Amino acid sequence: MGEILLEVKNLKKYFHVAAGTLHAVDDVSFTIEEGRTLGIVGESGCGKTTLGRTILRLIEPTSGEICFNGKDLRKLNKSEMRFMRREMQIIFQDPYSSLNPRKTIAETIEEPILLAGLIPDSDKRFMRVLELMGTVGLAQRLINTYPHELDGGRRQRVGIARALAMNPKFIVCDEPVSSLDVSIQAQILNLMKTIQRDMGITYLFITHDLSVVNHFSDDIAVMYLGQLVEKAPSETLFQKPLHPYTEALLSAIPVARIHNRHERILLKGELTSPINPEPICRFAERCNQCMDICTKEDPPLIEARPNHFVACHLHKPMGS
Amino acid sequence: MDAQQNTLEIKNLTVEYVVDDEVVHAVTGVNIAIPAGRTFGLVGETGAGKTTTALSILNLLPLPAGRIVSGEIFVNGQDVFKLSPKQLLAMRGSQVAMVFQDPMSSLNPIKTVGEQIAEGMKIHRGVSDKEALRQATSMLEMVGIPGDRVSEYPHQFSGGMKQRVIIAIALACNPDLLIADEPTTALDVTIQAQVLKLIRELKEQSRMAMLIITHALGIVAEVCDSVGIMYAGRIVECGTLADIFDNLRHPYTRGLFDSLPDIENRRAELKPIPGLIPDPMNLPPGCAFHPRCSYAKPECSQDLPQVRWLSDTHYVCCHLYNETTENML
Repeated sequence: MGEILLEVKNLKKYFHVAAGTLHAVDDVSFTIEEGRTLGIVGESGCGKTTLGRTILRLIEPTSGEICFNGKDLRKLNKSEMRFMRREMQIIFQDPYSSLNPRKTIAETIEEPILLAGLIPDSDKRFMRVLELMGTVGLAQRLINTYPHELDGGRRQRVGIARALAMNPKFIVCDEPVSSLDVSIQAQILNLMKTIQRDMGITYLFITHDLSVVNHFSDDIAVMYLGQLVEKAPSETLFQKPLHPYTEALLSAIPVARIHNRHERILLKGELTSPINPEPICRFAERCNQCMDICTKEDPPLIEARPNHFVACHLHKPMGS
Repeated sequence: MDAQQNTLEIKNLTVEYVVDDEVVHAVTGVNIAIPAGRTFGLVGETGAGKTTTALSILNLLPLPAGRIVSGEIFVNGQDVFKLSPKQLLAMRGSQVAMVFQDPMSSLNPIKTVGEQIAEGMKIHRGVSDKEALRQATSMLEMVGIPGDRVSEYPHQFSGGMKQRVIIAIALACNPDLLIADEPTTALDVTIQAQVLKLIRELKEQSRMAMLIITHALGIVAEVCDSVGIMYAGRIVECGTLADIFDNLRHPYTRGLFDSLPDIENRRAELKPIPGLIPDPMNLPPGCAFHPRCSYAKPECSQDLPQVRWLSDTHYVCCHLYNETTENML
């Protein structure tokens, strides 16, 4: 087991909207060990993207702590934070809108190196760009192409090369493969795994695709309406989910086989509003195991089994 | 095969787009037959020609770029390409209905959902406004939305509910054929499960034939009876669910399955298909898949593989099966 690289404590991000306060990220706490991958899964609007951006302070948190390598990021000033960002990068979901259409591939990959002043010599910088393109599997002949000349898979490789340019320790991957076709998706996932193995990078892998997250992550955290409702190692979560929402989510995965299909737990209704939520279980309305207490108290995240955390009144802390 | 017995029959369809004097071979020699009450899944990646095939059925290809080069399409035995514009209008929305991928942009934002469901019934069935609205209310309830929301506008509904409204519009005139183009792609997984359940129930209750276009094999396994795998404009393998899921033969079909993470075994390595989908303006000679195929032989880059029937229900287009019907993968 490695050292803890990132520790998030009671992180909150509230947005003030016309209808009230939107609890996008509500009291989320977790840790990630160096070299491992934490998958964050949840449906649209559950706050997973906001969480990723808040950790990088691309969005300022409302409250809470983000300790990266032992430093509380929220206490850093602007220039310290800028320096820190070399170690923490992000890969965006949409490789169509996250690349500057007027810059060539080489310019896009070179830009962060140039801005950080890492390699002042232009020939060496060019060599570094070529090296990065090699790492992500982009042919050298593409060096002067523009994003519109590339397909989605290659564009995402550019996004990955740009994130790697700073030799980061940590990368937030925000749905990096959801806009890609399955055969290309598999290529990118394998590439990201190889990079992790070779460079020891730690990933926060945000996705709505449960079969991808299971394949890619060591641990998985499930979010529902801004809250973390369950967190466990991937095997445990998939084999013995504790939260009724996780159970329903897992059973809803359309599996590409025609035998041994599982009975599906169908949820009623849809996500309720994250604006001014009442202090009760946010899943209660859709839960098929809802009890009296669920509509009265908001369940805290507890360790129900070793290394298996859940926020649900059905479960008690270990040893109680 | 007798055209009368199938609700939909596509014979040897070839469609091209002409863009800047260059020809895009979108669909080439596609055959699909769907009997009443059955569901056919057309599977393929971006640009494979799935949507073009679907649009051809109702002669909805974007003009002037799109051009049907050859082939015939029969709906209930009627040759669609021989219909007058008026007859075609009468067919669209009544005999054949379509559900598009994006529920956010396929509803009219300034009409209530009730009006939109009722519209087709008024046009095609000539029912009165009052009766149409009454029927629209029961359609809404059938797709699982409370009937009292009939006078609400699309923005008041969530994504999953909008897709239900669109399904209600499509079903309003009791079509014989429903074409659904990626009906759940824009939806969250728990909502997708609800919509798939609705599709399965419709299947059980009616004799409607369905053509479902999707890139997800998981969805095919759930709602389809037979499957066609499309690559670069052609159907490369076609069969029943059991043929494709238990006994697949084409290297591309194999590649699609191997690219999917195994939910039971998270350590299993993904085996992606190397390379990229070819440019449809510039397809490789012979079998279009040969540059990415690990089984490619010299003839694969020269001759087009012919349809090889392996059973009454299962065919494959691949040179591996020129001399044998044994599984070569």
